[in-house]
Amino acid sequence: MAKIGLYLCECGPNIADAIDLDRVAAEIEKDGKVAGIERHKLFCSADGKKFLAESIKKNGFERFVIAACSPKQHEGTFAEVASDVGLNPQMFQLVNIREQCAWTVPDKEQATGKALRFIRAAVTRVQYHQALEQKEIDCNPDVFVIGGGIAGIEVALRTAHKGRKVFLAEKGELGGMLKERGLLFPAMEPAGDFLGPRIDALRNNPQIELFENCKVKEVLGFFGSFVALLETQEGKEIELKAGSVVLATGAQAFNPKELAEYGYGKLDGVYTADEIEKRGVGKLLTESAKPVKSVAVIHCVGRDKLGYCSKMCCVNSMKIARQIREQSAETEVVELYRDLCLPGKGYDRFYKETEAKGVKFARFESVEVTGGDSGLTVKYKQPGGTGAELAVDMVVLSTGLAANPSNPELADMLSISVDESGFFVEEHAVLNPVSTMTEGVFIAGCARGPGDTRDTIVQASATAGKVLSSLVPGKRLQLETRTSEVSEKLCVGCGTCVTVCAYGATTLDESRHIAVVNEVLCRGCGNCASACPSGAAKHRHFTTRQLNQEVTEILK
Amino acid sequence: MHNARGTTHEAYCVEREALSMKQFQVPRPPDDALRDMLASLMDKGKVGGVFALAQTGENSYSYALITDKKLLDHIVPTLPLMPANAGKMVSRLTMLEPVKTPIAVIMRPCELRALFELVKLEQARLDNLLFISYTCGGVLEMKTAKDGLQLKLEEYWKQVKTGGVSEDMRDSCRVCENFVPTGADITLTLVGNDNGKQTTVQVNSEKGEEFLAGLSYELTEAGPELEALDSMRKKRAEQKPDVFGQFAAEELGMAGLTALFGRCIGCHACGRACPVCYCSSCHFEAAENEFDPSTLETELTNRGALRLPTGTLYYQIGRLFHVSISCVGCGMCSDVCPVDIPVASLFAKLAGSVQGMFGYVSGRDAEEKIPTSTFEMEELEEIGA
Repeated sequence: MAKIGLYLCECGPNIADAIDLDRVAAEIEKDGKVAGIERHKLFCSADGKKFLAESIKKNGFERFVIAACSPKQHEGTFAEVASDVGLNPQMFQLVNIREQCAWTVPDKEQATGKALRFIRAAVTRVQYHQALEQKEIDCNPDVFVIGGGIAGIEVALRTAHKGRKVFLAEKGELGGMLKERGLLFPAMEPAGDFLGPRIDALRNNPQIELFENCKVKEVLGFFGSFVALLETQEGKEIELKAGSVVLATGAQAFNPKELAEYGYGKLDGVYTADEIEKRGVGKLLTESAKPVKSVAVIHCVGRDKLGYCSKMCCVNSMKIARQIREQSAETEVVELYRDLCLPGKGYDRFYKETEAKGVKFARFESVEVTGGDSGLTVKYKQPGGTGAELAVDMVVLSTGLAANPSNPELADMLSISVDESGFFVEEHAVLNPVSTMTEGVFIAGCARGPGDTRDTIVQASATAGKVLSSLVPGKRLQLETRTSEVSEKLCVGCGTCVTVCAYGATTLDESRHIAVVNEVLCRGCGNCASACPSGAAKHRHFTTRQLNQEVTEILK
Repeated sequence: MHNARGTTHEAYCVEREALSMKQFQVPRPPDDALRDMLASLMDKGKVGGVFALAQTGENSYSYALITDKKLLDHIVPTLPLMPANAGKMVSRLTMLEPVKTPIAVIMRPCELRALFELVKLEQARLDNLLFISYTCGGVLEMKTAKDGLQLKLEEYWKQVKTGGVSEDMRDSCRVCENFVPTGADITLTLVGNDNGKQTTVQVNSEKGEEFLAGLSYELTEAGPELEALDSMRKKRAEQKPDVFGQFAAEELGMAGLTALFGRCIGCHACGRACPVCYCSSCHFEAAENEFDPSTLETELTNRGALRLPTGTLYYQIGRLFHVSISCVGCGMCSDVCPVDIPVASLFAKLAGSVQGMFGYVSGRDAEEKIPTSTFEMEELEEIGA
């Protein structure tokens, strides 16, 4: 039998106070199944790791059990120690006697009893652990960007700048929503001054290959080795290979046609902010049949329908109000808002400057636009319930941003999800906001949710950073070691494992009529192993024997 | 769980659809009518072979794939014996690739359902198969083959004519309500017919019609004859308390299962005979399921005794878990049990509950997905995801 060492972590007072570790050590010693038992205040500390490594070496342990905290927290830490002392990283078992015993069982006697069962189970299980080989594959460092708006452009430029080959596919023309913007807030610079040089840089960069007017038909493969199929307008197919995929599909202005209260599409003089941007404020004012003396800007159009605040529209509508005031000083502008969303640096000042330019602000709870011979009437209810009315010559609807309708199709191709609004779902909304559940697939800009240009640039830079750091040229990708395998002898090719695999890692090999596991895609969840009736699908680190032994010991 | 649809009602609807097609009469008993029809099909080169139950000697019956027309005399397609589930046999023939020349396959409704279930599990292919089935009066226990078969047949066919239940039938058949084939191209309506003199053949699909085109039969439009079918269904429902009564879930439990399988010898014949127990090598026979010293020690410490051979109940529970969603209630398992454990009745009862949860009838439709291999959004809501 292999020489097994047991390590009991006190986790400061966390475990030491709740579990009688002396008794644990005494009873396990009596069992006679371990060759040595050691305690430490905190094995995960630098001192603790050093102590652990030295003890394993000194005692010549071939396997060890460490009773401490959740594997989620420190399995990696101790696997590293195992590697450092020359053991295969699978040759230990971490028992969670903190979260599962010390913190959850108030009675010390009972907590100690439970910990003992768990430790005995681990001591039994670890004898059946098998050394697993750490496999690596060559990665393709090239980047495939979907979407040629400012987010996609920025990711392409930044990754190409570091020497990566970049493929950028855009279903229409380059420039995205920005190509139709007049000025960028808060600095009020022309968007073209910023976008033009970037598009030029994109076109002139030999590292970047552009595919304009191309649709993405299919993306297959996995992190480090994706294969994408594009289709040109003429129906020609183009195949390209990349190691990572960046979704920069942007968003689109919400269309308020379905909301009757604004009269959009029915009443003359009612425009969306988006339309005003496209047509130009000056042009609209001068081309109007009669002089525009008063304008109402209505905020939060579509917010209830969309279900979220689009974050950029308040400031954007103030930008329009300012432009109107600047170009026609006698025109009155009233901003009707529900809540003013002015997050971050500079936006509050922008609001005050807008007020100083004579733009009026009034708060509403509900609003309705009606038309008559003399012009437009905006009836609104103020907070508290009193009604008010404005007679105006023009209404600007400050609309939010809706998700790109092609997102669900792309999400399907890449095995990720879209949220209820149609934006791509991040790996973690707070901690991993630009990566996704599929490794190697990243998001940038409004594809993950509405934001302004500044947000988009920040995100695109973050995405570029993620891409650059995860796919370093020459680097080999380390694969998950605890994967599943299918025995060719036992498999009958029923495909049950294929239907339960969430990662697309199991497929049927038609010629041999058996299931096969793609080790690169397999994340070792074990679904296939539990569903397989013949025991052909097996999880390398959760074998029937390991589990049987572990459970039998716990139930003894 | 899933909203349970009334499977009996489903069966009615499917029946009406399956049986309201064209038909013709042949003034010959069913087996003779089939031999004539199949000989014609072979003569015309429409089928290259016939798969059917055959008599291979005195008291010897087995399924056979026949390509020599002269041997068609041996087939006894409606003889109420089931030496194996034909669905499993056809799966063995077509697992790796479909048959190349068209084959006429004659099998009972539960065998057809087993085959369709096996198609979903990638264990069979239907291409080039012409399916002939019949409204099924059930089968007799296989041991009848050597023991007074002729005497029992008289009573059997009398019951089929009136839509009744005969004593010597398998328990599974006594309670089977899915005796009308779904998915067959051609159906003989045996239930309610005087099968000694004439045969009614219904054509249920375009494929069936294509195969029969050019043969000397005159098709007439017909609706289903439901009276005898309803009578049989009613009589079979009446048998349920007798067959299933011993398996009240609340009484069964671990103690009940232990008692039921108390004489199990662990031969695994039930699994071998089961059409939807499709693994080529059984996990329960793998070395890793052998008791090792520590398990042995635990068992003895906890119980003070150990039943040998080990794992007999573990095997049955495992099999219940593996096959209940696909069980077609054919009764093969009980029929092959050397110690007469009513395995099939337990499995059929459990299968009825499990399949009912998903509104599923195994093998009813080859296109329908096995519920455990798919999910519906509402199920995620039900579990609070």
